Amino acid sequence: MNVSALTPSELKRRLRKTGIFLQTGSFTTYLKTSISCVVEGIGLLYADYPLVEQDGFADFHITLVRPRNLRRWFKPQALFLFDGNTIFKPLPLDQAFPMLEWGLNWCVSNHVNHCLVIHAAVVEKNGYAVIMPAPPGSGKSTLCAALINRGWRLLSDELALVRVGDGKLIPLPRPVSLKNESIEIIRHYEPKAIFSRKVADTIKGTVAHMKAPSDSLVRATEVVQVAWIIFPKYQAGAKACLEVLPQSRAFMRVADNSFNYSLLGLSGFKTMTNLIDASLCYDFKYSKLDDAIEMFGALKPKV
Amino acid sequence: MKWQVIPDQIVNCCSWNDELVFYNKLSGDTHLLGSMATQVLLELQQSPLDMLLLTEALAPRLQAKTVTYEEFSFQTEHLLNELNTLGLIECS
Repeated sequence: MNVSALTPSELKRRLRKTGIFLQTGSFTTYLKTSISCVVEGIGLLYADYPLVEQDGFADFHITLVRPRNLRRWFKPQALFLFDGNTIFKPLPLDQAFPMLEWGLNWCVSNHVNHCLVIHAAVVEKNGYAVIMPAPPGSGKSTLCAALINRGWRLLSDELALVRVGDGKLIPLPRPVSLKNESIEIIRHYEPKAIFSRKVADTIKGTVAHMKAPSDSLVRATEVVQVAWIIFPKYQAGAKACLEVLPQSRAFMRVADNSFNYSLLGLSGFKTMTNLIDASLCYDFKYSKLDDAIEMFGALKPKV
Repeated sequence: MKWQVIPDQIVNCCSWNDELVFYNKLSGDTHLLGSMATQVLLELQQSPLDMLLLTEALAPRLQAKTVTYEEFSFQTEHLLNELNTLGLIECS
């Protein structure tokens, strides 16, 4: 049964009373909250995600609450609890849904150590995946959002999960996080895309989340082989250009973008080595999304 | 005094083109080594060498035209010390 099978009032009741077990890729998240903007966000962006009716196992137990302090009367806040413990400082109440998304990323990046976890978007076409590691502000999520609206499958817009052992990429398709100008750019690029409402004045500026395509959710357990590692960089006015990146340099840059490379020790090194060996590595500059889509469409995997 | 690679460490190296990425399992650090360091390691992997013989072996391939033999020898010595500090080579 998917979230959409519940009426809005039933979803609200379950989230408030018993909580729900939400399946996102290979992970089950137990979520409980009575914060209305979170209920609304779940109903809108997680409508196609399966609900797990089971005996209480979840990879992550999350509760979003309103702290019981004086501020609740004049500047209400939201608090993210993991296993009942406070992890982050509270945020303004209207940032509760983005906080949930950031918190879910934190859960995966801090606990999933059977994978090499890289801060990167991942998309796939014809059985081959592109990993796009990049620091914030590089246009990674904007490019990812455009690609998945033009036939590429979303594995993740935030976390590449490379399985230690066989190097396969594990999908984690969740809403795509967009910020500032990127929100309107993607709205115009794909008018049918579904967005959460904009939340202003967050630590990242104005943010909104775009619903993941249904096809990506249906295939959320299909692991995939990496073929390319591409470091995207939006640059106003730049002609779309792929530049070959030496694999040794790519290794160091991907390691810099990994959450647990050091933690995994030698198995992290070996996993990274296999990942780099299997990939063609590029730097990519772009300014027009259509040019980027065309260039990605022409990529050929390693023979 | 001859220099030699530490077999336990060299297995955690990966070479792409003329550069090498090395994982030091003792410190947990990863290092990117340039082409000259890579050549030094490859040379020492074949057989342990002292500084003089190593410099002579590398000079025809790596000594830049603008660099004197003495300067190149100094660079090699400096590099050997660096590789020793990284735990990749040792004196035999």
